[in-house]
Amino acid sequence: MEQAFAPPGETWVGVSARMRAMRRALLAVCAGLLLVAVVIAGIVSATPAVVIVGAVVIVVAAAFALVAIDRNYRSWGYAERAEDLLVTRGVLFRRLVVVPYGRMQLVDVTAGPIERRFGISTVRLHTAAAGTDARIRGLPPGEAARLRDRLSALGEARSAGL
Amino acid sequence: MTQPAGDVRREGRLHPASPLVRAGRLVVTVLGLAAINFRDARDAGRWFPIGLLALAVVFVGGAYVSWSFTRYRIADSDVRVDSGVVIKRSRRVRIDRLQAIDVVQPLFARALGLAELKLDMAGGREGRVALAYLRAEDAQALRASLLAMAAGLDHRTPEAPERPLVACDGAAIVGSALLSTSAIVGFGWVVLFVVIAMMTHAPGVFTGALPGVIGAFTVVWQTVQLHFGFTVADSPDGLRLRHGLLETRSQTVPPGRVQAVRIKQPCLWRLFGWVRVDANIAGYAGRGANDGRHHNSVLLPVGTRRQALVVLSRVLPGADIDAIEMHRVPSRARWRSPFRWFTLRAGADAEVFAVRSGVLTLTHALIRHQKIQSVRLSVGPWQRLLGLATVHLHSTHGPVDVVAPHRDIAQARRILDAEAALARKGRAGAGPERWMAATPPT
Repeated sequence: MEQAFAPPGETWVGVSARMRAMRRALLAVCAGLLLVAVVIAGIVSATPAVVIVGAVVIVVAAAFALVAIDRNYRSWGYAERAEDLLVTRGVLFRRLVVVPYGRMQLVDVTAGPIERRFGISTVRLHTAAAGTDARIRGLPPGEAARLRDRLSALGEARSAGL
Repeated sequence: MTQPAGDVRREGRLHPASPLVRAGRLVVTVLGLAAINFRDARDAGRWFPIGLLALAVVFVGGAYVSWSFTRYRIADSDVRVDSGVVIKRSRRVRIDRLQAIDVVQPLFARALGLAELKLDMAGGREGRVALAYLRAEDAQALRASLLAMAAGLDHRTPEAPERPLVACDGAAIVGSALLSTSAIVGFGWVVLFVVIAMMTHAPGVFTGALPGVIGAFTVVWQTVQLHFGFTVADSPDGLRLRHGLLETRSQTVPPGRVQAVRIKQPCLWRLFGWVRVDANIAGYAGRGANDGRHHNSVLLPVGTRRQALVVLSRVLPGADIDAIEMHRVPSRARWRSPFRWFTLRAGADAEVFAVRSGVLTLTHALIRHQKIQSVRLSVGPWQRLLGLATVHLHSTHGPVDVVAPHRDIAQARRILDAEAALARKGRAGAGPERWMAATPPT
């Protein structure tokens, strides 16, 4: 199975651990807010059972989410081959996209406010096809800029008409 | 080629009657609305016709002002249209990037001998320039010279000769519209209500059938209106498509601009052996896509399979689609897609990749290796248990999706690698953008 998505021979690069850190932090904030809400609900309704059940549910869900975040983080990878870029991601729904450099119309680098705080950005490749969903999340800004420049240079060199 | 000084070929304004035609439609709409609401309108007294007249004057006046600020300019390598009264807009398209040229004649314009010239570029809605309106002869001549320039020839080259390929049968167009899936759904709705009305002995239920009648009628009418008299002709400039009952449209798709093709056969069309051919054409991306109709990416609205193959032989030169060896999916795919697994086929030859599927509606989609934009392999949780994977071959936006679902995972990976390699090779050998530039003009 893994063979099909990441065969040996390619040099696969993972994404920054800061993406995992960001998602963990977001999870912590969400879980914390929910816990506070549950505690308040328990106090208002004067039923400690609500607090206990609620807290257990939140903690279990958060534990699952932690595992999911970790697995998802490790599922990301990309490989720059001579003629095309490979991007793979996803755990439950696993996917591998091959984008020939000559097909790239433009390369985007974006970073939202939270991403910026954690020092990561997203690189997205666009071809003439709307179905091409090739994005690499969680790249350190330096690597994102390098990838963008390299991809645009390669894209220009190998550019083909439609 | 030596050119006279200055590379401007032609400069000018649109036809002075264009504002009238443009506003004409709106005025007719307003009058139509007024007629429908006539009873309500009477309460408004004599102010109503005056208001309507004022509205019409405003429309025509606005269109006229907008017209007087619009100019077009055709140069050696691009077409530019400047417009805008307050906010200036200048739009230019590169002639060597033209994806298709249409000449459209709405009923109103046709009556006045005018036509609209539409230039389509890759890049969807933004990449379109329309010259509305020109005299019909001018539009034709302009199209011919733009195509010649796009082909890399002199702009004075006379219009390329054409050879008719297929002419759709009028009865087939009406019949196929009546048997289309959406029309059938409409008829089914009507029948349902008739049955209910008969069973409950309540004729009032009949009125519930009205949406079905209107829906089916609209669908059938639109299809017939759009496709009536459809002809496909071949010329060195590409495929020429002509169609339309009230609004006539004449499309030219230059060689190599068709990205992917699909032959489709709705269930009941099998009775008559009819098929339909759609294509992804980069310039048509987005238009008509929002309402899911893709009406200008039809290469053949209805025809026999033989006719479809004639059209296909022009857009996929060198591919013999019946000779491609098609492979079934492993039988364990029945646990993932119990109804259609046995219809799924995929195969490839040196030129194209093909997929077939469908239990009721049969589809056969083809894409040339060199037109593939990107390739995706994906596996869902259920597929993973069965060791299956889906391969998507991405084409530009349009009605055709080339997807080979539920292949054995190792085979899917091989398809992915092979397509990535073939796509590369195909691109390396792709012809020049200016398709006649390679051969000396004769």
